Amino acid sequence: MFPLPVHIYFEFAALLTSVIFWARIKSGKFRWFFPFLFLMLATELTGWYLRKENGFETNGYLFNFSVPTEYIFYAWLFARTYQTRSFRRIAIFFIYVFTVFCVAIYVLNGIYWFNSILLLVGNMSAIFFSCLYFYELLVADERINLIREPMFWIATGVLLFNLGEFLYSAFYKLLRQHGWDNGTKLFRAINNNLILVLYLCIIIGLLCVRTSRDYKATFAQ
Amino acid sequence: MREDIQGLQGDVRSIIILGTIVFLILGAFMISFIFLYRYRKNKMLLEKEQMKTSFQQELLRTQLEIQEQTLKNISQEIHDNIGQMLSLAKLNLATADVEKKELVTQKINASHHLVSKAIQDLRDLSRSLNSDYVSETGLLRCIEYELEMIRKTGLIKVDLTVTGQVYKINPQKELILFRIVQETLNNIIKHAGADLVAVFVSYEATLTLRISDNGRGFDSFQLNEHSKAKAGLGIRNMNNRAKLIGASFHINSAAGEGTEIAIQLPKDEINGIEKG
Repeated sequence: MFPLPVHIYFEFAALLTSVIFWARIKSGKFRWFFPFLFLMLATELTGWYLRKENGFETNGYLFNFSVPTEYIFYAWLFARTYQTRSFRRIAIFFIYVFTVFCVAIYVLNGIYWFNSILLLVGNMSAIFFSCLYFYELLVADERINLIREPMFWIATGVLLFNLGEFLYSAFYKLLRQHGWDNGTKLFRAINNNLILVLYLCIIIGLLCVRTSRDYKATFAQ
Repeated sequence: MREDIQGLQGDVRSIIILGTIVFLILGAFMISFIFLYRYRKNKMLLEKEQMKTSFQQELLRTQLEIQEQTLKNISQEIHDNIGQMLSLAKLNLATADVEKKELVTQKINASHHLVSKAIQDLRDLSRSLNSDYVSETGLLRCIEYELEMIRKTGLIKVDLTVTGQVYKINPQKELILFRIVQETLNNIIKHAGADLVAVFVSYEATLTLRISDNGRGFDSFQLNEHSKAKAGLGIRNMNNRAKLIGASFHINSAAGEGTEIAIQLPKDEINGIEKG
Protein backbone atom coordinates (compact mmCIF):
# COMPACT_ATOMS: atom_id res chain seq x y z
CA MET A 1 0.00 0.00 0.00
CA PHE A 2 2.85 2.38 0.93
CA PRO A 3 5.83 2.14 -1.42
CA LEU A 4 8.06 3.94 1.10
CA PRO A 5 8.69 3.19 4.80
CA VAL A 6 6.14 4.92 7.05
CA HIS A 7 8.71 7.12 8.83
CA ILE A 8 9.59 8.80 5.53
CA TYR A 9 5.96 9.93 5.20
CA PHE A 10 6.24 11.51 8.62
CA GLU A 11 9.39 13.33 7.57
CA PHE A 12 7.62 14.48 4.46
CA ALA A 13 4.63 15.62 6.55
CA ALA A 14 6.97 17.65 8.76
CA LEU A 15 8.55 19.27 5.69
CA LEU A 16 5.10 19.97 4.29
CA THR A 17 4.06 21.58 7.59
CA SER A 18 7.07 23.88 7.47
CA VAL A 19 6.07 24.90 3.93
CA ILE A 20 2.37 25.41 4.70
CA PHE A 21 3.10 27.41 7.84
CA TRP A 22 6.04 29.26 6.36
CA ALA A 23 4.34 32.60 6.98
CA ARG A 24 4.30 31.83 10.71
CA ILE A 25 7.80 30.45 11.02
CA LYS A 26 9.67 32.65 8.57
CA SER A 27 10.56 35.39 11.02
CA GLY A 28 12.11 33.26 13.76
CA LYS A 29 14.59 30.48 14.38
CA PHE A 30 12.05 27.87 13.29
CA ARG A 31 12.45 28.91 9.64
CA TRP A 32 15.63 26.84 9.58
CA PHE A 33 13.46 23.75 9.95
CA PHE A 34 12.62 24.00 6.27
CA PRO A 35 16.16 23.40 4.95
CA PHE A 36 16.85 20.99 7.82
CA LEU A 37 13.79 18.85 7.13
CA PHE A 38 14.46 18.99 3.41
CA LEU A 39 18.00 17.73 3.98
CA MET A 40 16.79 14.96 6.31
CA LEU A 41 14.12 13.83 3.89
CA ALA A 42 16.54 13.89 0.96
CA THR A 43 19.07 11.85 2.97
CA GLU A 44 16.47 9.31 4.09
CA LEU A 45 15.11 8.92 0.57
CA THR A 46 18.58 8.53 -0.92
CA GLY A 47 19.59 6.12 1.86
CA TRP A 48 16.46 4.09 1.34
CA TYR A 49 17.04 3.98 -2.42
CA LEU A 50 20.70 2.96 -2.06
CA ARG A 51 19.78 0.28 0.46
CA LYS A 52 17.08 -1.04 -1.80
CA GLU A 53 19.36 -1.11 -4.81
CA ASN A 54 22.70 -2.11 -3.28
CA GLY A 55 22.12 -3.34 0.29
CA PHE A 56 22.64 -1.98 3.78
CA GLU A 57 26.38 -1.27 3.84
CA THR A 58 26.33 1.10 0.88
CA ASN A 59 24.59 4.14 2.42
CA GLY A 60 26.75 4.70 5.53
CA TYR A 61 28.63 7.70 4.12
CA LEU A 62 25.34 9.56 3.67
CA PHE A 63 24.57 9.39 7.37
CA ASN A 64 28.15 10.33 8.22
CA PHE A 65 27.13 13.80 7.04
CA SER A 66 23.46 13.96 7.97
CA VAL A 67 23.93 12.81 11.58
CA PRO A 68 26.44 15.58 12.54
CA THR A 69 24.30 18.14 10.69
CA GLU A 70 21.27 16.99 12.66
CA TYR A 71 22.96 17.32 16.05
CA ILE A 72 24.63 20.60 15.20
CA PHE A 73 21.21 21.90 14.19
CA TYR A 74 19.63 20.78 17.47
CA ALA A 75 22.47 22.31 19.48
CA TRP A 76 22.05 25.59 17.58
CA LEU A 77 18.29 25.52 18.12
CA PHE A 78 18.73 25.01 21.87
CA ALA A 79 21.40 27.73 21.97
CA ARG A 80 18.88 30.12 20.43
CA THR A 81 16.25 29.07 22.96
CA TYR A 82 18.11 29.09 26.27
CA GLN A 83 17.57 32.05 28.56
CA THR A 84 20.66 31.27 30.63
CA ARG A 85 23.84 32.63 29.12
CA SER A 86 26.02 29.76 30.35
CA PHE A 87 23.70 27.20 28.72
CA ARG A 88 23.91 29.12 25.45
CA ARG A 89 27.69 29.13 25.68
CA ILE A 90 27.80 25.38 26.33
CA ALA A 91 25.65 24.73 23.24
CA ILE A 92 27.77 27.01 21.05
CA PHE A 93 30.96 25.46 22.42
CA PHE A 94 29.59 22.01 21.61
CA ILE A 95 28.92 23.05 18.00
CA TYR A 96 32.57 24.01 17.50
CA VAL A 97 33.99 21.01 19.33
CA PHE A 98 31.66 18.56 17.63
CA THR A 99 32.53 19.95 14.20
CA VAL A 100 36.23 19.50 14.87
CA PHE A 101 35.55 16.05 16.32
CA CYS A 102 33.63 15.01 13.19
CA VAL A 103 36.43 16.14 10.89
CA ALA A 104 38.94 14.25 13.04
CA ILE A 105 36.82 11.09 12.86
CA TYR A 106 36.46 11.41 9.08
CA VAL A 107 40.23 11.73 8.75
CA LEU A 108 40.94 8.80 11.09
CA ASN A 109 38.20 6.37 10.08
CA GLY A 110 37.27 7.54 6.62
CA ILE A 111 33.78 8.41 5.49
CA TYR A 112 32.64 5.34 3.64
CA TRP A 113 31.64 3.36 6.73
CA PHE A 114 29.16 4.80 9.13
CA ASN A 115 30.92 6.23 12.22
CA SER A 116 28.60 5.29 15.08
CA ILE A 117 30.67 7.33 17.54
CA LEU A 118 29.26 10.49 15.93
CA LEU A 119 25.75 9.19 16.53
CA LEU A 120 26.55 8.25 20.12
CA VAL A 121 28.05 11.66 20.91
CA GLY A 122 25.12 13.30 19.11
CA ASN A 123 22.62 11.25 21.15
CA MET A 124 24.29 12.23 24.40
CA SER A 125 24.48 15.90 23.48
CA ALA A 126 20.82 16.01 22.42
CA ILE A 127 19.74 14.33 25.68
CA PHE A 128 21.87 16.77 27.65
CA PHE A 129 20.59 19.87 25.81
CA SER A 130 16.97 18.74 26.11
CA CYS A 131 17.46 18.27 29.85
CA LEU A 132 18.95 21.76 30.14
CA TYR A 133 15.93 23.15 28.32
CA PHE A 134 13.53 21.25 30.61
CA TYR A 135 15.46 22.53 33.61
CA GLU A 136 14.93 26.09 32.39
CA LEU A 137 11.23 25.35 31.99
CA LEU A 138 11.09 24.05 35.55
CA VAL A 139 12.69 27.09 37.13
CA ALA A 140 11.14 29.79 34.92
CA ASP A 141 9.20 32.31 37.02
CA GLU A 142 6.60 33.15 34.43
CA ARG A 143 3.47 31.41 33.29
CA ILE A 144 4.23 29.07 30.39
CA ASN A 145 1.58 27.10 28.55
CA LEU A 146 3.59 24.02 27.58
CA ILE A 147 0.93 22.78 25.16
CA ARG A 148 1.40 25.94 23.08
CA GLU A 149 5.18 26.09 23.46
CA PRO A 150 6.85 24.95 20.18
CA MET A 151 10.20 24.22 21.80
CA PHE A 152 8.59 22.01 24.43
CA TRP A 153 7.32 19.68 21.72
CA ILE A 154 10.56 19.75 19.78
CA ALA A 155 12.63 19.09 22.93
CA THR A 156 10.24 16.26 23.85
CA GLY A 157 10.73 14.65 20.44
CA VAL A 158 14.49 15.13 20.54
CA LEU A 159 14.74 13.69 24.06
CA LEU A 160 12.61 10.61 23.39
CA PHE A 161 14.28 9.92 20.05
CA ASN A 162 17.78 10.11 21.47
CA LEU A 163 16.99 8.24 24.67
CA GLY A 164 15.54 5.46 22.54
CA GLU A 165 18.44 5.38 20.12
CA PHE A 166 21.19 5.71 22.70
CA LEU A 167 21.63 2.04 23.61
CA TYR A 168 21.62 0.87 20.02
CA SER A 169 24.28 3.48 19.19
CA ALA A 170 26.33 2.35 22.18
CA PHE A 171 26.26 -1.28 21.02
CA TYR A 172 26.41 -0.50 17.32
CA LYS A 173 30.07 -1.43 16.88
CA LEU A 174 29.65 -4.72 18.71
CA LEU A 175 26.54 -5.61 16.71
CA ARG A 176 28.26 -4.76 13.46
CA GLN A 177 31.51 -6.57 14.33
CA HIS A 178 29.70 -9.83 15.01
CA GLY A 179 27.01 -9.35 12.42
CA TRP A 180 24.32 -9.59 15.08
CA ASP A 181 22.02 -7.16 13.38
CA ASN A 182 22.54 -8.03 9.76
CA GLY A 183 19.71 -6.64 7.75
CA THR A 184 19.36 -3.96 10.45
CA LYS A 185 16.04 -5.38 11.62
CA LEU A 186 16.60 -4.29 15.21
CA PHE A 187 17.90 -0.91 14.15
CA ARG A 188 14.90 -0.28 11.95
CA ALA A 189 12.48 -1.49 14.60
CA ILE A 190 13.88 1.04 17.06
CA ASN A 191 14.95 3.90 14.83
CA ASN A 192 12.00 4.01 12.44
CA ASN A 193 9.47 4.05 15.27
CA LEU A 194 11.39 6.74 17.11
CA ILE A 195 11.49 8.82 13.94
CA LEU A 196 7.68 8.76 13.98
CA VAL A 197 7.71 10.19 17.52
CA LEU A 198 10.37 12.79 16.70
CA TYR A 199 8.72 14.08 13.54
CA LEU A 200 5.27 14.04 15.07
CA CYS A 201 6.61 16.25 17.85
CA ILE A 202 8.31 18.51 15.29
CA ILE A 203 5.01 18.83 13.39
CA ILE A 204 3.13 19.75 16.59
CA GLY A 205 5.92 22.18 17.51
CA LEU A 206 5.72 23.91 14.12
CA LEU A 207 1.94 24.11 14.44
CA CYS A 208 2.37 25.84 17.79
CA VAL A 209 4.60 28.59 16.41
CA ARG A 210 2.75 31.86 16.63
CA THR A 211 3.54 35.09 14.86
CA SER A 212 3.97 38.32 16.78
CA ARG A 213 0.52 39.30 15.46
CA ASP A 214 -0.95 36.19 17.13
CA TYR A 215 0.72 37.22 20.38
CA LYS A 216 -0.73 40.71 20.11
CA ALA A 217 -4.19 39.23 19.48
CA THR A 218 -3.83 36.98 22.54
CA PHE A 219 -2.85 39.89 24.77
CA ALA A 220 -5.63 42.05 23.38
CA GLN A 221 -8.28 39.51 24.44
CA MET B 1 31.44 -21.87 21.63
CA ARG B 2 28.85 -21.08 19.00
CA GLU B 3 26.09 -21.48 21.57
CA ASP B 4 27.93 -19.06 23.86
CA ILE B 5 28.16 -16.47 21.10
CA GLN B 6 24.50 -16.96 20.26
CA GLY B 7 23.66 -16.57 23.94
CA LEU B 8 25.71 -13.37 24.10
CA GLN B 9 23.99 -12.10 20.97
CA GLY B 10 20.63 -12.77 22.60
CA ASP B 11 21.76 -11.01 25.78
CA VAL B 12 22.96 -7.95 23.92
CA ARG B 13 19.75 -7.75 21.91
CA SER B 14 17.70 -8.13 25.08
CA ILE B 15 19.74 -5.42 26.81
CA ILE B 16 19.20 -3.09 23.88
CA ILE B 17 15.46 -3.74 23.65
CA LEU B 18 14.73 -3.68 27.37
CA GLY B 19 17.13 -0.80 28.00
CA THR B 20 15.53 1.22 25.22
CA ILE B 21 12.08 0.58 26.68
CA VAL B 22 13.29 1.59 30.16
CA PHE B 23 14.94 4.74 28.79
CA LEU B 24 11.79 5.69 26.92
CA ILE B 25 9.64 5.15 30.00
CA LEU B 26 12.07 7.29 32.00
CA GLY B 27 11.91 10.02 29.35
CA ALA B 28 8.11 9.89 29.27
CA PHE B 29 8.01 10.01 33.07
CA MET B 30 10.36 13.00 33.11
CA ILE B 31 8.26 14.91 30.56
CA SER B 32 5.05 14.10 32.45
CA PHE B 33 6.63 15.33 35.67
CA ILE B 34 7.71 18.60 34.01
CA PHE B 35 4.25 18.99 32.56
CA LEU B 36 2.51 18.50 35.91
CA TYR B 37 5.01 20.64 37.77
CA ARG B 38 4.57 23.50 35.30
CA TYR B 39 0.81 23.16 35.49
CA ARG B 40 0.91 23.62 39.27
CA LYS B 41 3.48 26.40 39.06
CA ASN B 42 1.37 28.23 36.46
CA LYS B 43 -1.61 27.98 38.78
CA MET B 44 0.43 29.32 41.68
CA LEU B 45 1.86 32.16 39.57
CA LEU B 46 -1.64 33.09 38.41
CA GLU B 47 -2.86 33.25 42.01
CA LYS B 48 0.16 35.37 42.92
CA GLU B 49 -0.55 37.76 40.03
CA GLN B 50 -4.19 38.01 41.05
CA MET B 51 -3.19 38.73 44.64
CA LYS B 52 -0.79 41.40 43.45
CA THR B 53 -3.49 42.98 41.32
CA SER B 54 -6.02 42.95 44.15
CA PHE B 55 -3.39 44.45 46.47
CA GLN B 56 -2.76 47.25 43.97
CA GLN B 57 -6.50 47.84 43.59
CA GLU B 58 -6.97 47.95 47.34
CA LEU B 59 -4.05 50.32 47.65
CA LEU B 60 -5.58 52.63 45.07
CA ARG B 61 -8.94 52.49 46.82
CA THR B 62 -7.21 53.27 50.11
CA GLN B 63 -5.45 56.28 48.58
CA LEU B 64 -8.74 57.56 47.20
CA GLU B 65 -10.47 57.16 50.54
CA ILE B 66 -7.65 58.95 52.33
CA GLN B 67 -7.86 61.80 49.83
CA GLU B 68 -11.62 61.97 50.28
CA GLN B 69 -11.27 62.04 54.05
CA THR B 70 -8.53 64.65 53.82
CA LEU B 71 -10.72 66.89 51.67
CA LYS B 72 -13.55 66.55 54.21
CA ASN B 73 -11.14 67.46 57.00
CA ILE B 74 -9.83 70.44 55.06
CA SER B 75 -13.29 71.71 54.31
CA GLN B 76 -14.22 71.42 57.96
CA GLU B 77 -10.96 72.97 59.09
CA ILE B 78 -11.29 75.95 56.74
CA HIS B 79 -14.88 76.54 57.78
CA ASP B 80 -14.59 75.96 61.53
CA ASN B 81 -11.08 77.06 62.31
CA ILE B 82 -9.23 79.17 59.76
CA GLY B 83 -12.37 81.00 58.64
CA GLN B 84 -13.23 81.80 62.24
CA MET B 85 -9.74 83.07 63.00
CA LEU B 86 -9.64 85.30 59.93
CA SER B 87 -13.13 86.65 60.66
CA LEU B 88 -12.03 87.48 64.16
CA ALA B 89 -8.91 89.19 62.86
CA LYS B 90 -11.02 91.14 60.39
CA LEU B 91 -13.41 92.14 63.21
CA ASN B 92 -10.47 93.24 65.35
CA LEU B 93 -9.09 95.41 62.60
CA ALA B 94 -12.48 96.83 61.68
CA THR B 95 -13.27 97.85 65.23
CA ALA B 96 -9.84 99.34 65.96
CA ASP B 97 -10.24 103.00 66.89
CA VAL B 98 -7.22 104.97 65.66
CA GLU B 99 -7.83 107.59 68.32
CA LYS B 100 -7.09 105.03 71.08
CA LYS B 101 -3.50 104.11 70.39
CA GLU B 102 -3.15 101.54 73.15
CA LEU B 103 -6.30 99.68 72.10
CA VAL B 104 -5.24 99.75 68.45
CA THR B 105 -1.89 98.19 69.34
CA GLN B 106 -3.66 95.54 71.38
CA LYS B 107 -6.07 94.73 68.53
CA ILE B 108 -3.30 94.69 65.93
CA ASN B 109 -1.30 92.30 68.10
CA ALA B 110 -4.32 90.05 68.55
CA SER B 111 -4.97 90.13 64.78
CA HIS B 112 -1.31 89.41 64.13
CA HIS B 113 -1.48 86.41 66.40
CA LEU B 114 -4.69 85.16 64.75
CA VAL B 115 -3.31 85.58 61.21
CA SER B 116 -0.07 83.82 62.21
CA LYS B 117 -2.11 80.92 63.63
CA ALA B 118 -4.21 80.81 60.45
CA ILE B 119 -1.05 80.73 58.32
CA GLN B 120 0.35 77.86 60.42
CA ASP B 121 -2.89 75.92 60.10
CA LEU B 122 -2.93 76.54 56.36
CA ARG B 123 0.61 75.19 56.11
CA ASP B 124 -0.45 72.02 57.93
CA LEU B 125 -3.42 71.69 55.65
CA SER B 126 -1.39 72.16 52.48
CA ARG B 127 0.97 69.41 53.65
CA SER B 128 -1.94 67.01 54.07
CA LEU B 129 -2.99 67.75 50.47
CA ASN B 130 0.19 66.15 49.17
CA SER B 131 -0.61 62.75 47.64
CA ASP B 132 2.47 61.17 49.24
CA TYR B 133 1.58 62.78 52.55
CA VAL B 134 1.46 59.51 54.51
CA SER B 135 4.69 58.05 53.17
CA GLU B 136 6.54 61.36 53.51
CA THR B 137 5.23 62.28 56.94
CA GLY B 138 5.21 58.80 58.43
CA LEU B 139 2.45 56.81 60.10
CA LEU B 140 2.98 58.20 63.57
CA ARG B 141 2.94 61.87 62.52
CA CYS B 142 -0.21 61.26 60.47
CA ILE B 143 -1.95 59.67 63.46
CA GLU B 144 -0.88 62.63 65.60
CA TYR B 145 -2.32 65.00 63.02
CA GLU B 146 -5.64 63.11 62.90
CA LEU B 147 -5.86 63.17 66.69
CA GLU B 148 -5.05 66.87 66.69
CA MET B 149 -7.97 67.47 64.34
CA ILE B 150 -10.26 65.57 66.71
CA ARG B 151 -8.90 67.45 69.71
CA LYS B 152 -9.58 70.79 67.98
CA THR B 153 -13.30 70.01 67.87
CA GLY B 154 -13.26 70.27 71.64
CA LEU B 155 -15.76 67.43 71.96
CA ILE B 156 -13.37 64.53 72.38
CA LYS B 157 -10.21 64.28 74.44
CA VAL B 158 -7.36 62.42 72.81
CA ASP B 159 -4.41 60.52 74.17
CA LEU B 160 -1.49 59.07 72.23
CA THR B 161 1.04 56.67 73.74
CA VAL B 162 4.05 55.46 71.79
CA THR B 163 6.47 52.82 73.03
CA GLY B 164 9.62 51.39 71.47
CA GLN B 165 12.01 52.79 68.88
CA VAL B 166 10.05 54.19 65.92
CA TYR B 167 10.99 52.46 62.66
CA LYS B 168 10.02 52.79 59.03
CA ILE B 169 7.40 50.50 57.57
CA ASN B 170 6.86 49.63 53.93
CA PRO B 171 5.06 52.77 52.55
CA GLN B 172 2.23 50.76 50.99
CA LYS B 173 1.55 48.98 54.26
CA GLU B 174 1.85 52.26 56.15
CA LEU B 175 -0.80 53.77 53.91
CA ILE B 176 -3.19 50.90 54.56
CA LEU B 177 -2.56 51.00 58.32
CA PHE B 178 -3.19 54.70 58.35
CA ARG B 179 -6.45 54.24 56.48
CA ILE B 180 -7.60 51.67 59.07
CA VAL B 181 -6.77 54.13 61.88
CA GLN B 182 -8.52 56.95 60.02
CA GLU B 183 -11.63 54.81 59.46
CA THR B 184 -11.65 53.76 63.13
CA LEU B 185 -11.40 57.36 64.35
CA ASN B 186 -14.15 58.33 61.93
CA ASN B 187 -16.39 55.57 63.32
CA ILE B 188 -15.70 56.76 66.87
CA ILE B 189 -16.70 60.33 65.99
CA LYS B 190 -19.81 59.21 64.10
CA HIS B 191 -21.19 56.34 66.18
CA ALA B 192 -19.45 55.86 69.52
CA GLY B 193 -20.60 58.95 71.35
CA ALA B 194 -17.28 58.87 73.18
CA ASP B 195 -15.49 61.75 74.90
CA LEU B 196 -12.11 60.04 75.09
CA VAL B 197 -10.04 58.35 72.42
CA ALA B 198 -6.78 56.65 73.31
CA VAL B 199 -4.30 55.46 70.73
CA PHE B 200 -1.46 53.16 71.67
CA VAL B 201 1.35 52.47 69.22
CA SER B 202 4.04 49.96 70.08
CA TYR B 203 7.14 49.71 67.90
CA GLU B 204 8.45 46.41 69.22
CA ALA B 205 9.21 43.23 67.23
CA THR B 206 5.55 43.35 66.30
CA LEU B 207 4.01 46.66 65.40
CA THR B 208 0.90 47.03 67.55
CA LEU B 209 -1.79 49.66 67.09
CA ARG B 210 -4.56 49.85 69.67
CA ILE B 211 -7.36 52.38 69.43
CA SER B 212 -9.88 52.54 72.24
CA ASP B 213 -12.75 54.79 73.20
CA ASN B 214 -15.12 55.12 76.14
CA GLY B 215 -18.24 55.26 73.98
CA ARG B 216 -21.40 53.19 73.96
CA GLY B 217 -19.74 50.09 72.46
CA PHE B 218 -21.49 47.05 70.99
CA ASP B 219 -21.50 43.27 71.30
CA SER B 220 -18.33 42.22 69.52
CA PHE B 221 -18.49 38.56 70.65
CA GLN B 222 -20.59 37.46 67.69
CA LEU B 223 -18.42 39.45 65.37
CA ASN B 224 -15.24 37.61 66.39
CA GLU B 225 -16.99 34.21 66.70
CA HIS B 226 -18.60 34.14 63.28
CA SER B 227 -15.76 35.78 61.42
CA LYS B 228 -16.12 39.28 60.16
CA ALA B 229 -18.53 38.24 57.44
CA LYS B 230 -21.52 39.46 59.44
CA ALA B 231 -19.87 42.77 60.19
CA GLY B 232 -20.68 46.01 58.45
CA LEU B 233 -18.90 47.09 55.32
CA GLY B 234 -16.51 49.40 57.19
CA ILE B 235 -15.30 46.72 59.62
CA ARG B 236 -15.10 44.12 56.85
CA ASN B 237 -12.98 46.50 54.81
CA MET B 238 -10.66 47.12 57.73
CA ASN B 239 -10.34 43.40 58.37
CA ASN B 240 -9.65 42.61 54.71
CA ARG B 241 -7.07 45.35 54.48
CA ALA B 242 -5.30 44.14 57.58
CA LYS B 243 -5.20 40.62 56.13
CA LEU B 244 -3.87 41.97 52.83
CA ILE B 245 -0.77 43.36 54.53
CA GLY B 246 -0.35 40.30 56.74
CA ALA B 247 -1.65 41.95 59.91
CA SER B 248 -4.17 40.64 62.43
CA PHE B 249 -7.28 42.63 63.25
CA HIS B 250 -9.36 42.28 66.43
CA ILE B 251 -12.30 44.16 67.87
CA ASN B 252 -13.08 44.03 71.54
CA SER B 253 -16.25 45.74 72.64
CA ALA B 254 -19.24 45.36 74.93
CA ALA B 255 -22.39 47.43 75.23
CA GLY B 256 -21.72 50.48 77.40
CA GLU B 257 -18.04 49.65 77.82
CA GLY B 258 -16.45 51.29 74.85
CA THR B 259 -14.57 49.68 71.99
CA GLU B 260 -10.99 48.68 71.40
CA ILE B 261 -9.54 47.65 68.09
CA ALA B 262 -6.11 46.07 67.85
CA ILE B 263 -3.98 45.66 64.76
CA GLN B 264 -0.77 43.68 64.90
CA LEU B 265 1.77 43.53 62.11
CA PRO B 266 4.42 40.83 62.69
CA LYS B 267 8.09 41.65 62.23
CA ASP B 268 8.55 39.64 59.03
CA GLU B 269 5.63 41.52 57.41
CA ILE B 270 6.81 45.02 58.31
CA ASN B 271 9.09 45.45 55.31
CA GLY B 272 7.57 42.96 52.90
CA ILE B 273 7.40 45.17 49.85
CA GLU B 274 4.75 44.47 47.26
CA LYS B 275 6.13 46.05 44.15
CA GLY B 276 3.57 46.95 41.51
